[in-house]
Amino acid sequence: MDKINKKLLLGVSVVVALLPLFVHSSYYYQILINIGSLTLVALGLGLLLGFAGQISFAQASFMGIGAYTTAIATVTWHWPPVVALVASAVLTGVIAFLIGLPVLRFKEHVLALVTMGFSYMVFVVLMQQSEITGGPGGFPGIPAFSIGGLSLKGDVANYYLVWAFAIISILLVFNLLASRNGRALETLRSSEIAAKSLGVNTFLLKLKVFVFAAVIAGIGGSLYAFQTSYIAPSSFEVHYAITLLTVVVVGGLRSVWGSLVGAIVITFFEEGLTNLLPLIVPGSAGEYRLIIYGILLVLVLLFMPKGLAPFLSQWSRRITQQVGRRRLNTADKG
Amino acid sequence: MTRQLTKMLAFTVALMLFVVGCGSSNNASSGSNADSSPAASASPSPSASSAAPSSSAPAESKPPIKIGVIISTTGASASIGTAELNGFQVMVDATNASGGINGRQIELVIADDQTKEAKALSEVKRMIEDKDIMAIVGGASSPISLAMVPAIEEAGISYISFGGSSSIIADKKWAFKIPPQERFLVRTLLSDAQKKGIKKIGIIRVNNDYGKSGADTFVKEAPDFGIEITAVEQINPDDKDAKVQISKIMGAGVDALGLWTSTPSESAVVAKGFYELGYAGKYPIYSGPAVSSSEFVKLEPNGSTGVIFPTYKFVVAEQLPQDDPQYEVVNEFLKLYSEKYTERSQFPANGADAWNLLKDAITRAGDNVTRQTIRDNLESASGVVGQLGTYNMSPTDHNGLDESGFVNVRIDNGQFVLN
Amino acid sequence: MHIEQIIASGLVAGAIYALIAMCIVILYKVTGIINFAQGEFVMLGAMIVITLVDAGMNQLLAACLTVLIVMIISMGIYGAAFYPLRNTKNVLITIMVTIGVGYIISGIAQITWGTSARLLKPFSAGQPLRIGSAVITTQDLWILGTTAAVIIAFFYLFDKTYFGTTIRACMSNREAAKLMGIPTDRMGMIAFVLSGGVAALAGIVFAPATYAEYDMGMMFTLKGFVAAVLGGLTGAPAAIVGGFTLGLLESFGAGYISSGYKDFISFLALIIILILLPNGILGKKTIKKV
Repeated sequence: MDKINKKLLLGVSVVVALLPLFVHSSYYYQILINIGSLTLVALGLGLLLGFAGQISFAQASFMGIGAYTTAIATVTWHWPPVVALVASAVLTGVIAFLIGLPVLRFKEHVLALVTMGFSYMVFVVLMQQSEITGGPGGFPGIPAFSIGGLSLKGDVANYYLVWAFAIISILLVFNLLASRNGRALETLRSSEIAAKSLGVNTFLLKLKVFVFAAVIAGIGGSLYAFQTSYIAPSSFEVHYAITLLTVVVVGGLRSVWGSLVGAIVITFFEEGLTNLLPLIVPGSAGEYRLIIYGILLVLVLLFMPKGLAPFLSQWSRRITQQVGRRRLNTADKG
Repeated sequence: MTRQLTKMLAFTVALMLFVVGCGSSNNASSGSNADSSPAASASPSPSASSAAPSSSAPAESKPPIKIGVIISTTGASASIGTAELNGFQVMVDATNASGGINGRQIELVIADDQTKEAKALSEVKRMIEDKDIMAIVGGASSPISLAMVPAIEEAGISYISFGGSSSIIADKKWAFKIPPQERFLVRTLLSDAQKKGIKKIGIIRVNNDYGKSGADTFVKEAPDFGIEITAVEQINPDDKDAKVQISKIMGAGVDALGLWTSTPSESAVVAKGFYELGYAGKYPIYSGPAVSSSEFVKLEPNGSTGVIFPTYKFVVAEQLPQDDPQYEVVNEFLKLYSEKYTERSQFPANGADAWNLLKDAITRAGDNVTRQTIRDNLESASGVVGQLGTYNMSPTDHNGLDESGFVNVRIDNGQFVLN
Repeated sequence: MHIEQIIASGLVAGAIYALIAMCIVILYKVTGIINFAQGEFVMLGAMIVITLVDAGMNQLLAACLTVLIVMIISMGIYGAAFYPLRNTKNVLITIMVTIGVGYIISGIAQITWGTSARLLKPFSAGQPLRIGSAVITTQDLWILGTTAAVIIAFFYLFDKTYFGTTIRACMSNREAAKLMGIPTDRMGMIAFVLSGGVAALAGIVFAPATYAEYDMGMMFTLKGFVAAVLGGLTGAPAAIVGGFTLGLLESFGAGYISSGYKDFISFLALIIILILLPNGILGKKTIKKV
């Protein structure tokens, strides 16, 4: 992992670690937890989409599978939370592997369709198998996460939990990209045929990434269940899958930071719009929100198609260059 | 390199602080909220705004009492949520117009949950933090309500829900709900079917929580009335045609069609199919309350005739006998509501009763209006006459209703007729 | 014994899906854009025609005017959002832009028309047709008829007219078409406008059979997309096959297996079909040039 990103990761970790000193509102913790959760799940999608070039609508369902596995494991079977978390990750991975085998050979649109189909199928099962999942009424009563005797309940604990996983996952992704697999991924992204001709087993690679992304999403789902203690099928539907895609595309497909930047921006959009809109247009409600969200989305995509993360780093690079140039100039004159 | 890193770090920190700072400055100022807009009490449309206290209040008047409302004004539950909000707001406005409670005006802080559990959760957390908000009302559906309940129980603020599920209030200290146990409505309906000699019913229900719990209750209670449920078929909320499901049920031989949907348009899709297949008029439809709206009749003028459903007295207020214990309360609300709105359904009544209960609780608290006193008074509500009946709450019953507040209504050529 | 109703319902739904799928496929082939807002144009068609009819206009005139209005709106949207993207290779960006446009359209619809469902009277009165256990209403006949008319019109257009040939040229190879002097950019706009118009028509003809709501677009987009990919994304015939297949799959699933699991069944069947025919039912294996 190169030096810049290492330092950035360190920086972000420091910010995340220290933020609770400034944040005292339960509402803001919820927002920060949402951002962390979104980052985690979108990270997998970003890898899949940006580096392996696979469009998948299935991430939301993998999150749902993780969440429900945790719910059933802890409430119905009384498993300890740590075991439930591991079980969620494993089950999601296994399902992703089984799905990936027949499905990953499809090309773009068909893959999008099939992953969408899978997503609906999971949704139907969650809604119909009510004795197990609680059906449309949802699944209440999920306990908080705990390790041994230490219970991680409450805002701050859940915040650190989610962000710890998010940061570790970002680290893992960077390491993955620096490895041989990562270089193979790079080649795969530019040209699948070139990769194949270089001896890369593209199918296996895609499968690995697909499973990895699913496992992270499953963990994200599990943490979500622990934090909110109540889950419902409607949270893991195609709409959420579209939100994830939006996060990744707006944040930047080609950048690992894309999911973090995207998660911050999209969450900011959504909450900010809800708060600001009634000030700008008195008496307005959700209708305007949808329109403005759409307009912002279209604008970002038209003017910053590479996403915000690359744009930000370009912008900051330009600033540092300018500063550097000015220093050089004054040095000369002085 | 270090400079670039510093820039990015600075940006991230700045962004986070901005978000944090934005929020705390909003919460710090008392009485105003990020989503307030002036004099919204005059606007009939639902808005993410708050009703400001009347500007002509003298300087030494008592501060307003703030009530939070989290309701779906967009998303799948939008039409129900909007109707409930309207009912609630109409009653609050009337109270404010007559001087408020104990000299204090009521100020509403309204937020749209977009029919998303995650949004409802963040909104409820935001309201919990505003220490001036004394109670929260809302949650048009059970999943939305259930998503908010853990937070309100934890924080200790009263919550009056519009959701139907009994788990919203089971073993809870701070959560109350307006809609009655589903079985009251179902049993009211089934008693009519029994009287008409119906023996077999096949049900079509919508594929969501409302539909499922209604159908489950239907199935559970039917044997008490000597009725057999032959099948339960499902339709999705956005399905446009139910003829396959209808043929399946009617083809197997039933005396009536059972229906439990959650919106007028879902109900109309089924009623339309029923009519087109030629069953309307020959077989009755026993439906849940989603058809209690004039929108249903408008959408399906042909197939709606002959539909029978249980509902609140509000829907047929004018036809109530004068000696009905709720006659006055129901008609008074009708007068207030129809000044602003023409369509009627049962849902505004939910909103009205949320206010009836809160008003009672706040009034009895006198000068000591706190989150705790409101909760205690809600729990001790006794003999509060509302739209759904008379409320008698207790620590073990946070709904407080019985069967007597409900009636069966038959739709006859577009008119709602008390059965 | 209710197989006739299952087939009838399946065909009517399939007809609508086929229409929308045709719009999606033609646009895709000419411009490479998959329009995830296609269903919104269906919704606009329904909503606008209802507004005009409610204002007193004659139904036929209102229908024509609506199609025209939606086509003009499509033109505007193309210019604003898609023209700048015409050369992008990035499929995902264009899909996301269409999603954004979809949000905008349904948001505006919500403000303009509110959240309640709206009704359009059937085009012609009359008793429904009964075939076995099936009931086919007059509106169902209109739907099937309109779909048939559009299919015939497309075949005529594509086969017999110069304009159709240029579109076909764009659809099979945009670069070559450009070299032959065909204004591919303008073709893109024409395809967009055309698909908007047909979608509006689908909405108009379907509205009396159901109820128009501001958020019904998403469902149509999804079904249209499924039908289009199922068919193979190669052209109008593929869309038609995909549409009817989807309609019948859903209907049979609901009728014979379980109405609760019908989406599960149709998607499972879909995935199985695609595993056997990875390029869609009528899809051809495209040779990727290196």
